[in-house]
Formats: sequence, structure tokens, C-alpha cells
Amino acid sequence: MDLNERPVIPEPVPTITEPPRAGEAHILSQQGTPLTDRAALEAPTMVSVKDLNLFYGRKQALHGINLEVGKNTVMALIGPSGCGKSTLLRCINRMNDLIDNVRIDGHVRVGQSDIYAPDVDVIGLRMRMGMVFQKSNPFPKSIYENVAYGLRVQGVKNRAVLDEAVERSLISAGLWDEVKDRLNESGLGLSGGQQQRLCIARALAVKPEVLLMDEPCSALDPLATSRIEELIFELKRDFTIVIVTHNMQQAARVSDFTAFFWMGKLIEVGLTEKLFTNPRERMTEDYISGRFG
Amino acid sequence: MTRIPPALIRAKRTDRFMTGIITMGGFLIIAAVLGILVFIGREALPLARSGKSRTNPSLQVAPVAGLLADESGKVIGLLRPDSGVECIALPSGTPLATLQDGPVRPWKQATEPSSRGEFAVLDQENKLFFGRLNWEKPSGDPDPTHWTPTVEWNGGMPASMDTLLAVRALPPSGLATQPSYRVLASGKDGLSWTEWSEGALTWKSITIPELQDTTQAIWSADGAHLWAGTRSGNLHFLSMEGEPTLNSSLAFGEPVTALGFVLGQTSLLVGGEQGKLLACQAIKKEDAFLLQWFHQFEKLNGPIRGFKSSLRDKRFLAWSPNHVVVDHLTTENRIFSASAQDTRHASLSARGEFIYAASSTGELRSWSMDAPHPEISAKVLWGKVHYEGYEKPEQVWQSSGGTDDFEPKLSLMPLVFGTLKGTLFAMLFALPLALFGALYTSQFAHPRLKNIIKPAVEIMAALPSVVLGFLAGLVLAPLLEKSAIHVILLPFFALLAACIVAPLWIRMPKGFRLGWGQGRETLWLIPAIFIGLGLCIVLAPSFERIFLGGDFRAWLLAKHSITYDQRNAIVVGFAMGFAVIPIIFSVSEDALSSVPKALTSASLACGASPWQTAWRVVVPTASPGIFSAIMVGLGRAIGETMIVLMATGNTPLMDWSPFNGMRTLAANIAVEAPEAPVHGTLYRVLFLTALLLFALTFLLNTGAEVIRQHLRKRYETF
Repeated sequence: MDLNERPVIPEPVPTITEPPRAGEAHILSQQGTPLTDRAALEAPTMVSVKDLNLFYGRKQALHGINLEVGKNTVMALIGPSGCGKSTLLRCINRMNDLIDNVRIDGHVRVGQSDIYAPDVDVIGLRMRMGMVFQKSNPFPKSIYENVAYGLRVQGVKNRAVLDEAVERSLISAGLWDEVKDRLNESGLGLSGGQQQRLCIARALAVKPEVLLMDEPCSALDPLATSRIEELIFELKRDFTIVIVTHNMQQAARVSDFTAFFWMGKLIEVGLTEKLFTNPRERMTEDYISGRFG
Repeated sequence: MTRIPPALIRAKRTDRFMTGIITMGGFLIIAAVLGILVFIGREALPLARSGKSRTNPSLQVAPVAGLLADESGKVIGLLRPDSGVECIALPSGTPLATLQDGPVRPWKQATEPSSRGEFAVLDQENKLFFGRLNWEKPSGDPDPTHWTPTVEWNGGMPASMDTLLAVRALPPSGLATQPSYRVLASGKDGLSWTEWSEGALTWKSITIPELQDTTQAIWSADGAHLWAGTRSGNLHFLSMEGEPTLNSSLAFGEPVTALGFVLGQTSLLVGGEQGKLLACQAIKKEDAFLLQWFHQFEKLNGPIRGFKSSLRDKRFLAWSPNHVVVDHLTTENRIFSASAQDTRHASLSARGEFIYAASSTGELRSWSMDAPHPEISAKVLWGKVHYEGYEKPEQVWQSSGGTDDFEPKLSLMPLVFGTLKGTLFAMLFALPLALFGALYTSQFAHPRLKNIIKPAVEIMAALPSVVLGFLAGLVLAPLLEKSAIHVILLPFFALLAACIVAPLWIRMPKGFRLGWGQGRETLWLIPAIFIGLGLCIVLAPSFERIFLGGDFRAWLLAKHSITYDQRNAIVVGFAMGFAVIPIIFSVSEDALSSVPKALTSASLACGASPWQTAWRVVVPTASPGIFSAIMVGLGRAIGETMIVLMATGNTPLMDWSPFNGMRTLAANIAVEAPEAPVHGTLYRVLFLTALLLFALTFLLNTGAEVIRQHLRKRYETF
């Protein structure tokens, strides 16, 4: 499935606090790399969350969230612990279904389909998403089988197809050169950073439309972290990425847009550069300047 | 100097103290286990010991015609043709008494006395006497000088024969008080035989050409048959009821020089001129007798002159002029061997502890022998042995019989086989149920359902196995016997019903299915299984009638010659499976539940269905735990005693048929231990089986642990 052939929804209702203006199309990061280009600002919407409320039993965890993520952009979700950013991320591929007593109302659209519609096939939906977790969680299988897993569960048996997907994904995840000679060794034998990149490769193997990353670097050392961050930068070309992070520098470095959550509410969302340098909300400013959180 | 706070000192002291206690506890446990092992081993070890013998000082007595050994080893009777029966004390050689009554001396011939002290004499006047030496021992008096020997004489009628060949005392029958005797003798007209009870002898001559060169003969225990060995090297078996007829013959290969029975008088020992020693038996098959050589022993040096059997077990004495040996029939082992020049007569005490040999010059040699377990050898325990009354070598466990002369059959193979069979059937029943149950409960069941299922299954483990065995043996077994065909058909019907219900469920409206809740759709299977059960009950009798001729058990016997025992392997499978299920379920459910959520999440996020996640990720990751669950279950099944004891017939068969029973190692110990005399052979063999059970479990657990560690390394997570 080619992403570009997929028709996109024509009505992007920007909930971005500052609508992008033509003049801001070239924003340079500290390293001089363009964080957000014009294409990012004009990207068609890939994920849209509308009036989303989520309850764990009686406790409401998300309050009326409205958020849109453009195609081939990186959206960072930041906020203090327990603010609901991971919960929101898990709403996008319906991983919250696995938790008992969860009630969700509102709409989440991915591409053009409402993923909470009653006739949605959850398994088919998850095949369109890749997810990377906080802690690297490779399966106790070989590196090859880890990457091929997504295709295997779809019933792909053709060795050539699998080989191609494994190689492509490992190259995309920047792991190919390190592991190409030991694809049949256990994925658990890799270092922490390599394991996390293996998990990214696993998520990429099924060519997902959206890549969801739940604090992917929180358990890694700085070197491995920067490796992953570079990777996110490259992956942006092919994938839409939603990343949850605690690390504000990371959000600033990798994302095009940032959404700040607090107590289950979306406080502010905007261009990353803008949000970090000139937040509209007082609370955002307090949080990013380290006054709470 | 900083002062260490006293709280820290206390904490450290407590820490050291507790470490010490825990270490000591661990070592004590290891020591206890090793202690048990050592004890069991020490009880079983004497089985492997070969017999010990000691040469006693020899005595000089007058030349004898036979030795009459006594059980005590303190006295011996010497058969002396010129002076009667002389009794002396041992080992001093002090004369106690010489019994001179009875036949007129010097006797022309005295037969070799039997092990029971019976002999026959042709006296100077050619009269035939039957004698038997008895010792009257005042109870508890160990001093042989206070014992009085008597010889009980019978007969005394003219014999008109030259040589006595075989004499057999038959126990008194009917109103008679005296034994009767069957005698085979040879004279100028050849072989003749007679049966004497009282009055004169009437000789009936035997005119069978094959018997012309008979050198040795012996009557069967009931006197109805006669064995005769010839110079030409043949063994003949004659029927002596009515007219003597030759039943069958066997070729021996060299001139027969000695015949004798082993205890029980079914195994006939045949000795030849070159020292060849074979055992033969006659098995009654319908009307005919099947004669076969069934044991072969090491050759003796020189021609075999005679045999004496022990009166307690299957060992026997054989001697040639320069060789005295004691062999065991079952094992064919030589327990004792001594070269003794010029041996004429020899004797073995009843318990086989003392061996005497007299030379032509009157030298009386003696030996003491200590061979407590001659009936055990590696071949007896593990191999096939040709037992008395069996047509071919077999592996049999039958530790005791109705009579004293019973040959114990102590092969462990049927027990090991039974153990494996019981375990296999239990596992066949328990493994699928427990493992799939655990998989369902941990991965698919609604948490609320799981909270009911798990404790409920674990309560199963609280049932004492004696209750399970009782229910299985007395309730389940008769029920199963009545409705065996239902039980066999039920899985098929249940599967059929499930196969019908599952597609129906998929066709249900989606809203209804989602409303029912994840993991609870299984409840729909319960009515399906009941429908299957109902169908089975309704249809099974017709099935039995149409395909199996109306009676499953009769059909089984007729078509496949399989007998259906009420307490069979299926009953054991159910009952022991029931005991094993909670263990396997509980341990493997824990293993499956403790697979990190991160892995299942990752798998589900990759688009795997819950079943794919369970099968491809959860089960492999939990495999070390599942493996140990199976091993723990296996260990329990192997060691389980009460259930197999009560739910099977404890028949030590070697047959995989699910319709008959088995006897396991553990149940065997429970059944036989109360009847095994302490330090006897059976007692030690039971300890050997305990050791075997111990080793089996130990090997199984060690192997399991090795594999588990290997798996764990492979599926190690976080």
C-alpha cells in the first residue's frame, strides 16, 4: 500500500494555537537543520482526534481532546507524568481496548476512517500503525524473526518478501550494518539502544501509516538517544510520527509540532519552535521552564 | 573515629544470625535427602553381594553310604552299611548315637538319601526297608547332646531285586497312616517297579526298549511319572498310571550319571559323565507334556554323582568325585564351588548354609556358606528369565505364591513399564486439559472469570489422593465399564458440537457478539458440549449395536483379543490426571501470566490477533515455566501411589492396552512392603525399587532443570 495514493481528508480543522503563516515556513533549529518546512505546515491531516473523552472506570483521564497531526510530520506530546499523553497515544491504535473498564467517547480518525466506529477491525487497524514502547521489548526470537513478526502474523510466508522487508526495515532503523551478519541470533543479545532500534524496525516492517512512539528513549543512554533522534528525523520522510516524551530538549529537537498536556487536558499545541520560545499559555511556559512537572 | 550506631550493629548481628540459620536449614535439607538416599542404598546393596563361603575343619569318620544333614548344622547322620545310622555332633565329631535297629547289617545297598532325610535299604537278607531320620529336639535346647535321633523304618519285605534305582515316598492317602512307596529297581529280568503300602511286593516289569540302558531314574513328586536317564545320553519321561508308557524323550548328549529335583520337584536336574549340568521341565499342554531344557549351568569337573536341593529356595548342591558346587536354578549362578578330592557323597542343609562332602576314605569335609540373596541377578531384575512352568523366558513380577516351594519372579520391568504406562495415560488426559486451560485462563478469559477458574482448579489439588483413588476405583471404574463406548465416543460428539457452534457464533450480529464481552463467548461452548453429551448418550447404544455387535467388551475380546478389566489404564488416566491437572494448570498459568505485558502489547501493536500473540509470543516466552509445570506434574504422576493402588487391579502386566491395568513401582512398594520379611530378598528388592523411583525422579528433574535453564536463556526477557 502506497501512502501517497491514499486519499486524504479534505477538511483539516487546525487546532493549532497559532495558525502557520507563510513567513514562518523556514525555522532553523540550533544545529541549522530545518525543523519544519513549508510542506510540514501544509501537510494534509493524517490523525485527527475530536472531542475525545476517556474514562478509566469513573475517573476521567482525557478531557475533550482535539488534535490533528499532519502527514509526514512529527508531533511531540509533552506534559508531566500522568497527564494522559500516553493514554492519548494508545487511543490512536486502540491499545486501550485491552484495559478493563475503559470507556471512550469522541472520534479518532486515522487517514479517512473513524477507528472507533463499531465495524472497525481492530487487528487490521493495528496493522496500519507501528508502535514503539518506552522500554525496548524485542520478542525472545531471532533478530530476523523479530522484524518479520508483523508480516508473519499477516500470513506472509514468502521468504523473499520477508527478506526484503527485514532488510529494508533494518536499514530504515539504522541497524542493518550492525546486525546483518547475525540475523539469526537472539534479539535479546543486542544492547539497549540496538534493541530499541530493533523495535523500531519491527514497527516499520509492515509499512505503517503512523508510527507511535511512547517515550522511546527514556531507558537509553545519551548516545543511543541521539542515534534514535537522528532516526526519527529520517523516518519523518516516510511516516507520520506521534511521539510521547518527557525530555523537552528531545521534543524540541525532533518534532515539528508539540502538544502540551496537563491533567488530561490539552493545554496548548503549536509549532514546536513557537511553543518553546513563545508559549501562549502561562502553564506551558512554567512547565517548559521547569517550574513544575 | 566515628562511632557505629548500635542499631546498625544490631542489624548486622541479626543479619549474620539469620544467614547462619538459613544456611544451616539448607544444609540440613540436603543432608536429610542424602541420608535417605544412603539408607535406601544400604538396604538394597546386599542384593548385589555374591555369596561368601568358609571352609570348616574336616573330620575323619568311617566310610559312609550317604550323609543326612540337619538344618542346625550341629549334627549329621552317617549312613553306614555295616553299622547302621551313626549320628555325630559337629564340628567336634563327638559320636551321639548309633541306631542299629531295622535291617540286618551289613546292608547290600543304601540309596542316596533325599534332602528330607529319606532313604531305602536292601539288607543282608535282600529285604527292602524304607528309612527316615528324625531328630527330636527339646524345644529351645541348643545343645545337640540332648537331642535324640530316631530312624523310622517301614517295609521289610523280600525284594528279589538286585539294585534299587528310584524310591519315592508318597504321603499317606485316605485312611492310611503310613506313607506308601513307589520303587524302581533292576534285577536279572531288567527294570521292574512296584508300589508298596503294606504286605508283599508285587513287581511289574517295564519292557520299554528305550529304557534298557537306564542308569538313573527318579519318580515325580506324585509318583505318577518316572524320569529315566540312560547310558546312551537320553532322558525319558514315562507315565506310570496304569501300564508304563513312554511320554516323550530329550537328548542329553552324554551318559546320564545323576538325576535330582530342585525344591518344588518340578525342575529336574540332569548331570552327565562329562560334568554337563542341565535343568529340564515337563509342562502339561492339554493332554501332552512338553519337555524342555530350560536352564543350563556351568560344567563340573568329572562325572556328576548326585544332587541335593535346599528346602528353602531354588539352590541345589551337585557333586562329582572332585568337585562340589552349589548353583541357583533361577539365576543359573554358581554360588559355591570347591574342589574336593575323592568325594563320594555330599549333602546340603535345609537352608543351604552348610555343605558336607564325604570321601571314600571317610574324610568328612564341610563348608559354611552365606548367600542371602542368591535368587537375584541383573538378568532376573531386568532381563527375561525362564521360570518354572513357563514355556519361554519372560519378564514377570510375582514375589510370592501359595506354597513354600514357589519360585519368586522379581523382574522390575513390569513395574517400570506400569509406572510409565500409568504416567503416560495420566499425562494424555491431563496435559491438554491443563495446558490449554491455563492458556485460556491467562490469555483469553475475562479477568472476573479467571478469578473464579484459578482458585477452583487449585482446590482440585486439595483432594486427598486416597479419595480420588476411592472414587476412581469404586465409582468411576464400574460406571466406565457400563458406558465405555459412551466415553470413547464423547470427545468426537463434543468436538462435532463445538464445530457446529463456532461458525454459528461468527454469524451472530456483531453488536451481540461485542456485547457479550471478550473471553466470555466460550460459555456458549458449554451447552454445545452438553448437546454433544446428549447425542452421545442417545446414539452410543445404537452405535454399539450396529458396529460392535451389541457388546463392546465382547467385541473387543473377539475381534482384537483384548480383555477389558474394570480397573484399567483409562480409569487411572482420569483419576491421576485429575490429581495432576491442578499442578500443571497452576504452574503453567503463573508462567503464562507472568509474560511481560510489554511483549503482548508489542505483539498486539504489530497487528497480531490475541491467538497469534498467545501462540507466537506468550507460549514460547513462558515455555520454561510450562516445561517445569509438565515436569512437576510428571514427577507427581510417577510417584503417585494411592490412586494407582486403588484404581487399578495392580496386575504387573506388560501391555499397552488402555483396557487393562498395571502395577507401578510406587504402588508395588505399598502393596508388598507389609508382607516382606525384614532383610529378606523381597524387602531388599522393594528398597531397590524405591531407589529406582528416586533415581527416576532425580534424573527427570535434573534433565528438566537443564532443559529449563537452556530454554530460559533462550527466552530470557528483561
